Amino acid sequence: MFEDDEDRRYTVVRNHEDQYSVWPADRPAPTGWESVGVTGPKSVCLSHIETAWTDLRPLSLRS
Amino acid sequence: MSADTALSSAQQRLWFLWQLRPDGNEYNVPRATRLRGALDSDALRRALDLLVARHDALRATFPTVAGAPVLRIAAEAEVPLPLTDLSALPTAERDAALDEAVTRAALAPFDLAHGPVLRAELIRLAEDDHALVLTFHHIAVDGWSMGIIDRDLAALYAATVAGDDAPSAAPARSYRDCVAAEQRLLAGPRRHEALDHWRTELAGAPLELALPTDRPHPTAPSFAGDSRGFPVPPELAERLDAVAVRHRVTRFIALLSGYAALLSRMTSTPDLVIGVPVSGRTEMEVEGTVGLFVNMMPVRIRCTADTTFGALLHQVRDTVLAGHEYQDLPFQLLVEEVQPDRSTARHPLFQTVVTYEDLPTEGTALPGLDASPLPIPTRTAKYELALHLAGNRQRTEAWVGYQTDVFDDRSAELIGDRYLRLLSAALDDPDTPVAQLPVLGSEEERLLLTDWAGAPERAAPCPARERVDQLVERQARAHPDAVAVRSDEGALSYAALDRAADRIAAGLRAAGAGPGTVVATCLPRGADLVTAQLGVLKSGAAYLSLDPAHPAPRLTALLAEARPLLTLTGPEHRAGLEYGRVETLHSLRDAGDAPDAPDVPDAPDGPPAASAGPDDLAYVMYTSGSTGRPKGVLVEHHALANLVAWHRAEFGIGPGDRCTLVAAPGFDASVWETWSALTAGATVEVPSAETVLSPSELRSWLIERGITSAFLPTPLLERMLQEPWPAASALRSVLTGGDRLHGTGRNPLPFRLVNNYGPTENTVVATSGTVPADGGERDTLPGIGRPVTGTEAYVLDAELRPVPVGVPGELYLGGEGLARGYLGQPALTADRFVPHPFSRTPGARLYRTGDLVRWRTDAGLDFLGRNDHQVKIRGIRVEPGEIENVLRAHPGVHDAVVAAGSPDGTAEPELTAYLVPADASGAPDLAALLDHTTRRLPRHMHPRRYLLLPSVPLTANGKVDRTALAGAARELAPPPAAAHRRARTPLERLISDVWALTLGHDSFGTDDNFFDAGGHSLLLASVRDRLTAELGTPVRIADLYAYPTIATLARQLSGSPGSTAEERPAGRTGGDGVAERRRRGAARLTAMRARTSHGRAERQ
Repeated sequence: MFEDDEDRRYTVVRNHEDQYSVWPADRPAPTGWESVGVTGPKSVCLSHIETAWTDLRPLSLRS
Repeated sequence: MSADTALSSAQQRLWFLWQLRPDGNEYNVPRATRLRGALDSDALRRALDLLVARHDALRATFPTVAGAPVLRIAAEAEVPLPLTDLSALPTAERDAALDEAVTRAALAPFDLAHGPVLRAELIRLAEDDHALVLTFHHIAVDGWSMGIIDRDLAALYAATVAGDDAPSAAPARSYRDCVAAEQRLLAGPRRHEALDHWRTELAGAPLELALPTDRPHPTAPSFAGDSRGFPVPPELAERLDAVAVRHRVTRFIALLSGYAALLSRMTSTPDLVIGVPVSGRTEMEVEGTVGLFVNMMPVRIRCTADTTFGALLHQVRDTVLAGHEYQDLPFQLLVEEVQPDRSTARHPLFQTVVTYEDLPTEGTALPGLDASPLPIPTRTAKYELALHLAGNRQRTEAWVGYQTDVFDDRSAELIGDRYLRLLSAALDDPDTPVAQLPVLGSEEERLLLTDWAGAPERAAPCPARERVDQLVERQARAHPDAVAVRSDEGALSYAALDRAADRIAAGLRAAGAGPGTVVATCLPRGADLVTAQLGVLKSGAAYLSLDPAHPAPRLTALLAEARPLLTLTGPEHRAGLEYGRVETLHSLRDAGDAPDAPDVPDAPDGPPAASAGPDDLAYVMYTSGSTGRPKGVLVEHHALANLVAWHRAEFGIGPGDRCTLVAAPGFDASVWETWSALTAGATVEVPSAETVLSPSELRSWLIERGITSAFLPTPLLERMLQEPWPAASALRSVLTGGDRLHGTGRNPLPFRLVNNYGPTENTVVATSGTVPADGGERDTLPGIGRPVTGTEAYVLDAELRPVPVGVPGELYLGGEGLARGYLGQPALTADRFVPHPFSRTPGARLYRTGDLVRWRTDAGLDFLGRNDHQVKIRGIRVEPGEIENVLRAHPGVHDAVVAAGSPDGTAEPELTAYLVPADASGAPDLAALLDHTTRRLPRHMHPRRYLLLPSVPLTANGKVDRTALAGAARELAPPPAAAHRRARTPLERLISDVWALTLGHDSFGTDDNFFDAGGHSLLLASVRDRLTAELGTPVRIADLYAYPTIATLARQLSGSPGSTAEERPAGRTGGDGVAERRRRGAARLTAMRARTSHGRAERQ
């Protein structure tokens, strides 16, 4: 996704199940995804996710 | 006077093409004109003779003298003007007859050796109504010449009718003089100057454009062609002229730029070469000369993502202008310089052209006659794809010409539509980057994102489905005595399976298993494996299926990564597992059965304490990972339930059906085989490892066992299809996948063949389609079908926009089958599972597969390859990065790059390791290196060759330059032939010959391992059959596995006792002790029972 452009900036997004992903910072995120406020090169975003997303289970399953 | 001379360069090329296809007519230049009024046919005949007298190129023939063609110009020639009289026919028949006569005259081939190069035919429709068909061979004329001929013929006819025989002034220069001038030019410095320009211009250019064809290219194109006109709205032409003027380019440059932009989008390439014709008439003196001057000029256009249309206009203008400076270098010479070793399958340098001609504002005609052009059907095309444009101030005409070998009319039509759509948007705002211009129409886009994707516009909630273990329980209650699993060791009824699995579940729960926990199984294909996995699911836990045939260190590494609660295995595999708690089925069952066992809340047959929900994990499946770390894919129950629901509905499986379990336990095809059969009440039939290794034995087994539905990995299936299939088998459906399927084979199939594709991340199968019998479609590889129920498939470009039908893009998958992610790898999960931009379900995700596919016109998908370095080795997905990491871990290796390639372009790809040694002065020890990889990687991931590099070559932007690897490398080992011990005894020589025949090479010694020499399991049956035939006694595949070198096999076959233990061959396994070698031989034999070494991780 968007890989040809190494200068592209991404933002870390999260959905209602607390699943994380990245999305180009200059585009509105698809419905149901919200920015968590971290923006930068993809590698920076993924590093954030590596530490922030500690439980891969969907939120509804964690109770 | 009429001495023979050499041909012009352009003529040489056409002569050569005529030699290749003397009956072809793609170089015919026909012109048919309806002439109404009183025609003086004698005057016309006389005018034609005068025309030919005036232009020497029209009197040319091209006989061969001393093996080479010569240009011979007759001193005088007459043009016969045969008359076909249709005036007696009734009107309706007459029109059809006219069409036929025109077509026949226009398309008849020429004989260049004997001539003539011009034919004339007059067709009489009525006393004052005629059709004149003039047909030239292109070797004598070009587009410019046709204008001269029109004018001259009109003038000569007028003069003749008027009785004025005085010939008008001859052209300033004859064609023969022009040929001589060209030769002088090419003998001088100009030739090198021009070649330098074109060499620089085309350096590194892609000379074969990946056009989105409907069919693959035939090895010999037929040049059959057709064309589709499309209307250019006058307002578009007006805007075109306005933008062209504003950007100081010509109309042609603007039209060409639009085509280049479209092609870059339709081929997903930023660098392309398009051919354009140039007049080749660089001097005033040749203005009036008839002959072949036109030259084809390659125009290289770079169209990166951020190139705006305005910038593209200037780039194309400058490139074309620079090229015009060197247009006098004949195309033929350019090809010989730039692309000397080309195939004839595709046109050299470029495969698509743009032509533009000014439409005359008034028609040319014979005086006193009303002339109108007659249509001549297009039956040929010189280029795969051509955009033809013609225009004047009043109107613009456009049509797409195409070769019918590779394009359908519908595709040509779509190309015309897209050209206008893109051009119109580009003219509206020339500052738009080309990558953002629209290509798809809105209706086309809507269809791709809904019906074709498998995503209905109104999302229906997915039906709640029972877990697979619940479905199996239902079947056990309904048909307790039906056979659930049958193997050589016996049959297990549904009731017995269910009971045994319940006991295992109870034991597991006692050990702490439940929803969210993982229990590993390390068992070969068979009843125990099925029972264990059902037991794990019943306990609420998810299973991690490991293949006991894989090296113990790898299994340990996977266990350390997944950290299961415990591992279930058989007594014979227990020793190799050095991680965590290990139980055999017996030890666990005993625990579950013990009446006083603590913490067992349920009776063995009771319901589970805490049952798994649809979002809980069902299984974990490891695939090769690019970061060097294998990836544990987490699959949830709803995804598995969706897979089996689709399978049972699609293939109508039920009680009484007999289905295979062929796939190895470590591959997710085993998930598919096991649960789709058991949830349907069918019998899982397990062939022995020996059977699975031999295509012919496996086929006999399928027939004898009355198998009704089989899964066969693609390479295995294709071998089995080589022999005719008995019509009387019980087999209804054969499912295949894992590799590129080539077709159904020569023989009719008495069953439905279904090709499947799917990454592990989408629960085994993502797309599926029945393969039509070969011969139904021309030269077309079967597709991978359409998205299965519950799965959505999108083909997207780098900007995540849908690409048009036929255009390569990356496949993205969504829906019920999506995995949760990768165990313990959140960043990797976030990178591969991305927000779904088209979903009506908020927060939905898409998995990006990394696979390149394209939509076919029938709404199915074609698989095209990977967009990264992942490869398939014998159908199994392999990330070279994983092998590289293992190699880098060796102390003698500083850096490593692994690449896959086919040595001769046709064979299966094999892996080559490029190593940078840790110690610059020395190389790592090959034997130690082989031992290192053998212990850590499964067989299919072992590099076939090891090469040394001083350093890893990098591209300008710091990435590994894979194209430069081979050039800088040298072999780590001396050439194998020199190092290896040759066969000594007659038996060794015989085995050696059989190997050579099977492997296709003989660079191995008697101490080399068959598998290291390029052999793989599918070749064993062929070795076995050949040896059996040569020796006259049966040879077992098991022996070939246990004794994988020629020396050991020869000793085994000659029955010399104990010899394997005494000798320690100085072969490639050098560092190993004899005991270790024997242990591994035995392990391999055990492993054989456990797997098909070609079971597939993914369908493809």
